[in-house]
Amino acid sequence: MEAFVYDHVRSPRGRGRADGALHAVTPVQLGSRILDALRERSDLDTALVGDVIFGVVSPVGEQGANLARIAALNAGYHEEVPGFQINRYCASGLEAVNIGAARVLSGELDAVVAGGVESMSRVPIFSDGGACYSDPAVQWDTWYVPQGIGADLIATMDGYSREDLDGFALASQTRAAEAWAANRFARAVVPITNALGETMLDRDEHMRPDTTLDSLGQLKPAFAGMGARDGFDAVMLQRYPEVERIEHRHTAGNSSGIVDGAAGILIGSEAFGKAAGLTPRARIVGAASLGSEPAIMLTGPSEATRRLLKRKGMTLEDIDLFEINEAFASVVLRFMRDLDVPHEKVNVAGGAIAMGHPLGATGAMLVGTVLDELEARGLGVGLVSLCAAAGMAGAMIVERV
Amino acid sequence: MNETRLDYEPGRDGVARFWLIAPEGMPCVLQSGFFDRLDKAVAAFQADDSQTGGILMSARDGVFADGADIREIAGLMERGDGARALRDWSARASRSLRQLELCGKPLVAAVNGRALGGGLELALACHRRILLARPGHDVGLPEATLGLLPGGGGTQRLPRMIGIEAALPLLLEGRRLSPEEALRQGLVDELAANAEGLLAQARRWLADAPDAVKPWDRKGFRVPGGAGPLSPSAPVSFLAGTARVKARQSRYPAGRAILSCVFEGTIVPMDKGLEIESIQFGQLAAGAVARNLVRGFMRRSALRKPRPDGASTGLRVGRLGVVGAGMMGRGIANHAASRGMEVRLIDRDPQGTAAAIEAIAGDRAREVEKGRLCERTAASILARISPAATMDALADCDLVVEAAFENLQLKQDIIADAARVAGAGALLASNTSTLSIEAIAGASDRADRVLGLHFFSPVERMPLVEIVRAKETSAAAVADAIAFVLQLDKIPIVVSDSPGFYTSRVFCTYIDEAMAMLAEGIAPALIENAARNWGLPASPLAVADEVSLDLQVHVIEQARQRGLPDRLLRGHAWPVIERMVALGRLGRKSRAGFYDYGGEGKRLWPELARLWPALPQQPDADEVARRLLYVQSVETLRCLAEGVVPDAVSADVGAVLGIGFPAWTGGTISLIETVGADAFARECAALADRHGTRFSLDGLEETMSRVVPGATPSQATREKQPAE
Repeated sequence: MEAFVYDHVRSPRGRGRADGALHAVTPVQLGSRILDALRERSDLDTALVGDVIFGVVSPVGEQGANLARIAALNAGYHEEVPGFQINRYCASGLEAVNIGAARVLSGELDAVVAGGVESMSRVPIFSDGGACYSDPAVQWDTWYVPQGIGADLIATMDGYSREDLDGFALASQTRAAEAWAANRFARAVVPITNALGETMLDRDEHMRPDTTLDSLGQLKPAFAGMGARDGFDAVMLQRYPEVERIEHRHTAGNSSGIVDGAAGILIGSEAFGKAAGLTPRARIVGAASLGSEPAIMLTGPSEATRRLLKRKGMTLEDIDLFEINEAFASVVLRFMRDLDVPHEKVNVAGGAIAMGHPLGATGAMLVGTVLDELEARGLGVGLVSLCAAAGMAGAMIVERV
Repeated sequence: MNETRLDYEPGRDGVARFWLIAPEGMPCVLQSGFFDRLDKAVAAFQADDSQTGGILMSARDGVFADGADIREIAGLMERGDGARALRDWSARASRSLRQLELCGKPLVAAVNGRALGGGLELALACHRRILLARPGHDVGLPEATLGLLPGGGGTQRLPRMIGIEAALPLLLEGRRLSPEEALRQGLVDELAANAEGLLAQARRWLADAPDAVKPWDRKGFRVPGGAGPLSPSAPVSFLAGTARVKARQSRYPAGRAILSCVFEGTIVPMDKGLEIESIQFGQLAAGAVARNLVRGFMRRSALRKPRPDGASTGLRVGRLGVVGAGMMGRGIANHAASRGMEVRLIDRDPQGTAAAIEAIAGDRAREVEKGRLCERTAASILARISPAATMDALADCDLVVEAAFENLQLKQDIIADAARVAGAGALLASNTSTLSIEAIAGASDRADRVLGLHFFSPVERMPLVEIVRAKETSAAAVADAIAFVLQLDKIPIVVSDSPGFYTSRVFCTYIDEAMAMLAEGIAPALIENAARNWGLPASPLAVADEVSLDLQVHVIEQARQRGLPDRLLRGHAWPVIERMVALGRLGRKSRAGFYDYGGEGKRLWPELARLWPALPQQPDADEVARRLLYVQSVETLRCLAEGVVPDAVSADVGAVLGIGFPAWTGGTISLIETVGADAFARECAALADRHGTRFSLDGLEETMSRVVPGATPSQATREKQPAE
């Protein structure tokens, strides 16, 4: 049994603020638009879809109550298509894909749509008031520290200078701008329109293609204040006592952007492809997820990658391109250092620093990006990994067919 | 009966009176039995239809109630009552207060004095609080400062009254509020200017037939500012709030428990909240840390009490001579003057005296500026300090303390001179921290009246004074010195004349262990953070910089000259001290030591990594911290065995107050009980194998079994058998 990728789409990413282009779009509309596009592009009989799985990291309010099922109904999918929402924090979109692939691989389902939705301008991060960042005893015992502090700790421990981080951020901006200029996102991105059919957004809005090292260098460290004032640095050093102090080097410019967005991937068996008259673009080789040290939170991708490669009997040499979520610059720099992977193979079309990180959707977006880039370059195998809050990570390998 | 009563008096006008009556000479505190009496009074009040309201006040002016009886709770904690029994203790009080709150008739707390802890909780359970606004009539919930939490509804009623954001700092810091601040923050509803007004205002409020239903017992109640994880203040109160507490007090469970009481308790109705609070109280109070902190409080209180001692000559110091106007002399003079003593301050250098007085004037002026001291008091303190040019000025002093440079000859001369001029009954003291009192005393003609008074810096703030008894010091002199220290409002411990006495000797083992670890290749940041993690805010390399390394050279050289045994010559730290001093890195005073002192605060000196390259495999931070703490406990056992310090109480209190040993441990000896005598002995045996005999408990078995509950003489040696 194989699980194939037949199609993938994503929304453009809107600035996650009140003046962002997607701020007037409800999360259900975003999700529905993705489902619409998948149906339209493949002329899909939605009765063939066995489930809709969406990653949603803040599943409350208008983004709550199982957005996947509601988006499917809202998009006019067959009423027998169920749906559910999952939360593996920032790796949710990837986890949705991995769960969907597993359901297909197990033979339980023929096809699923997997992806994610996050309207961060409408339902801000932490809107759910989860125990890890609100219940004092839980926070105390399970070492919740805001992720920016962990990113700065990684930079401190590995010795990434502000210039290293900004240099990486600049590459993200440059690569994203080049990819857009070369129309490399054209196949994946579906414009978001209003009720009158007018385009609200058709490009990633968070990008700053005119970014320079100089302009990045002007930005103030984003997490120094909370680190000192609210005691988070001191708490972190209780966990990392070998570090004298945390150097705060991450800024709004070398951290991922807060954006609105959604993505979906149509995954199915070979039989599904035949029934739907579709040709597979890639096969999902395997997936892994794991927990890592929760205080620093962001260091899981390397180990998730190692484990996945080992389980599949593969090596790093077998991977042509990597998509490692740019939660913060240090996360990707740490990954490249840990596994000795060259920057040339990593995030070749830019990443979340340039284009933004719509929490629940990003994982699915990265799967789409790595597949598009493999196709554009005539390469075969890609690996996607994201770190996630509370010390987790997910990874998956996709191979063109 | 030695307990606080609650007398109920129905009023002819329908206003009943509830009187808190503490027995003469006893503190006005609430025992468990008090709540039985409260239940009865409330029941009688409820049943009596002629009574429409009530006024609760204390029969003792100035004290409404000072909280639960700490002796009672300390007894339960020392007895090792478990969490459930301690939960029941809290729930018992909470139930009575809740019954009072729900009695259906309005009850006013006419708070005619300070109301602290359980005393304030009693007032909070009433339907209105009117506070007699006089200086000292403070209110507050100081339980956290004792390692406990308000277990009589304080963590539930306060946030429901004033909001979580305002309540949490009061609960976590245990700060007392003045009447004005109590009104502003909403802890009381009204202030009264005088006693008549207090009653009149209470009656006036009752006359309006007020509703006796608390806001939280009405339908649709919401905590002001919101409660739960989604309240607007949750990110500040609970997310940042928890980190702030954990950053400073990771070893102190009270803050975490208080945060949980407020977080969990304010989401649910009052009765459930009270249950949550009592369970948290039980868990907290059953723990070793709370026991150690309450134990420390009880011991400090006991040491602050005058000791009935026939030996004392009844000396009361009206006039104090201070010789040496350096930092210590200046501090002693300043503090003594603030306690009402006339001070004669002398220095070899008259300009030094003038400079010291000027510095004191500057310090006091700053306190006036900050509103901590009134101008008149500051002026009278200064007026009590007079400079003197010659030792003759000491003729009418009751006590002379010298605080000159640490040089034996110099100190001998001063004491001898002082003995010549001072009256026969005067006490002569040296503030030395290293020299032999016997040697200093020997130069005078009255060795029986000479002793050491070891103050700590800064004198004004440090609560401990180590009284050093030399061989010739009379019992009367020691008793007089104790009385003098109490006059200074400080806590005395009495130790024997020996190298380093007690606190300095133990302190040296702390910084020496850190320097030995540095020499072994343990990363300096790890040493410093491990110490902080275990509750030593003054990390060892930083504090070594503060006391300066050339002082260590001086002390060690003196020790060599005195022919002290090797184990007191600090051989394991010497290579580091020698190297640093040779490099001119003396500490903060040379702006270079283990740390660099730059504009942006201090940073560990990067070159340390070159001088003492880090081991590739660094130890666990807990192991580092255990070395730093255990070495002090073993040294304390030696001091006890040698009779340097008389008992575990003096040892524990001295370590915590004198050298910053973590309060959560209870002190160097309580630490052993806290980790378990078995585990301690096992760990020390392993440390002795790895790092040397300074960790060895050989010969200390009997001492340990004498001072550590649960220790047996065989424990210290048993663990040396090779492991299976």
